[in-house]
Amino acid sequence: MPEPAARAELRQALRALLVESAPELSGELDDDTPLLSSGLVESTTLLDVALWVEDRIDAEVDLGALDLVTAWDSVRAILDFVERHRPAPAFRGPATA
Amino acid sequence: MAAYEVVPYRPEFRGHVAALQRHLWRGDEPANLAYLDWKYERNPYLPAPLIYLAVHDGRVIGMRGMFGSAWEVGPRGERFVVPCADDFTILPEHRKRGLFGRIMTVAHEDLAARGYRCAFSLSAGPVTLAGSLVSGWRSLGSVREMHRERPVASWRGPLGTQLRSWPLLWRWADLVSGRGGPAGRRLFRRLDARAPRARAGGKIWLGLEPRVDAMVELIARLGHDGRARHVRDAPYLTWRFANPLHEYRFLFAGADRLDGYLVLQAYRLGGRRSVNIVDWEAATPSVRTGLLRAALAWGRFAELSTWTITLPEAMRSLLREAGFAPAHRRRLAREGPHLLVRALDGAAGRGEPALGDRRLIDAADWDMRMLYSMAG
Repeated sequence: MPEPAARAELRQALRALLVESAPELSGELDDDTPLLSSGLVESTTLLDVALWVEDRIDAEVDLGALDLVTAWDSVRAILDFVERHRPAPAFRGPATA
Repeated sequence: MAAYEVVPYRPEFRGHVAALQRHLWRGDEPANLAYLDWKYERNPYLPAPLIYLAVHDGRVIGMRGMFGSAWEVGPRGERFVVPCADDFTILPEHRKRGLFGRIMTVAHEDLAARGYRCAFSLSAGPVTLAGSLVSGWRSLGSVREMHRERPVASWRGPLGTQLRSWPLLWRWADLVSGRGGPAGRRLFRRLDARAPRARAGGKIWLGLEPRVDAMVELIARLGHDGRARHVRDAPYLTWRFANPLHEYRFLFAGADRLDGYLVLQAYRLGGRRSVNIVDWEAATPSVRTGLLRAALAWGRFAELSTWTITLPEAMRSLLREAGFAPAHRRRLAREGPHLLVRALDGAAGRGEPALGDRRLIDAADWDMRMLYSMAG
């Protein structure tokens, strides 16, 4: 089944953020590359990711309440987190005249 | 390219560290050296500074300090020395190279080898919070800062701004706008002018210095409910209020035998306008209320803040009634910095942080004051 376009866009944006913040990631970054447990992503980059997530889900993220090494250890995990927490799209009913 | 090395502090690095600290609070070298000596050399709980330095090409480019603290927990007030992580900085050109993790790994291993069972970080901002949470630290939550702002409606500020651009008259601008003088002292100018300095009839009065013995006696008289709190004895208070970067004022209730006290603090460096309530004790609710009212009435501070994470609801309610509201600071730390704890019994820090038989991962098990952290 093809991946929804929205997830593909999110992935592209997240990868761009990670590579911009930590250029050494560019050659080895796939969806399952361990980011935190491996030490590849460190505090300032993680902070950039946290702000990016907040913007995507339109809500505050309480970092202290998360087990980050489990919840955000890969691009896939971060995308899953965003999809689980982003607001549902507004229902667009039939147009009325 | 030269490699990075993490080494313990040695006296020959003293000047390097003072220079590095400009990235933390922009103090000049004499101020930073005074702070370094006070915090680490004269700390009452550690015999020698515990500072971990990242060195590159013979130059100190990053640091993490651990200042000593002493905590009492449980009904018998069992005491423990705990290293507190603070003063983290890395030179901008060396950031995003994994140095936070490398410094902290060395620190955790060294502290465990020295026999410490856990470490605290008492005012972790967003970067430290993020880096710490992936290296085994656990958050008790933000300090839940409450904040009170008083609008400054005055002709003095705008006139001072105008004067700054005028020939010859610019030199009077600070005087007119009320911005002259050292930052900390200036914030207390009104309090110093209006509060009575003498003990008169058991009322509330102002001290420029702590009354250490009387404060310790009051703390002992009020007792301890067993939650984790810093030991507040004479050596601690004497050392703590000698912080060379902070200015303190003390409101006392009572006479030789105190009924209460409230400690106010301001930063001597930088342009911060906020005054903080860093410690507050009282024998009765009416004394507690009186101390707060006196601070507000005499000080008329533009900004007044305090931490409320472990305050009882009655005191939070008192603050709300006095116009305090939850702070709304920068993203990821809106209600102030976080309190962090880490067990030191394993490389991953996955053990349960505890002192004695008290677990430390629930804020309800703490009696936390701003004074205990270097923010206060």
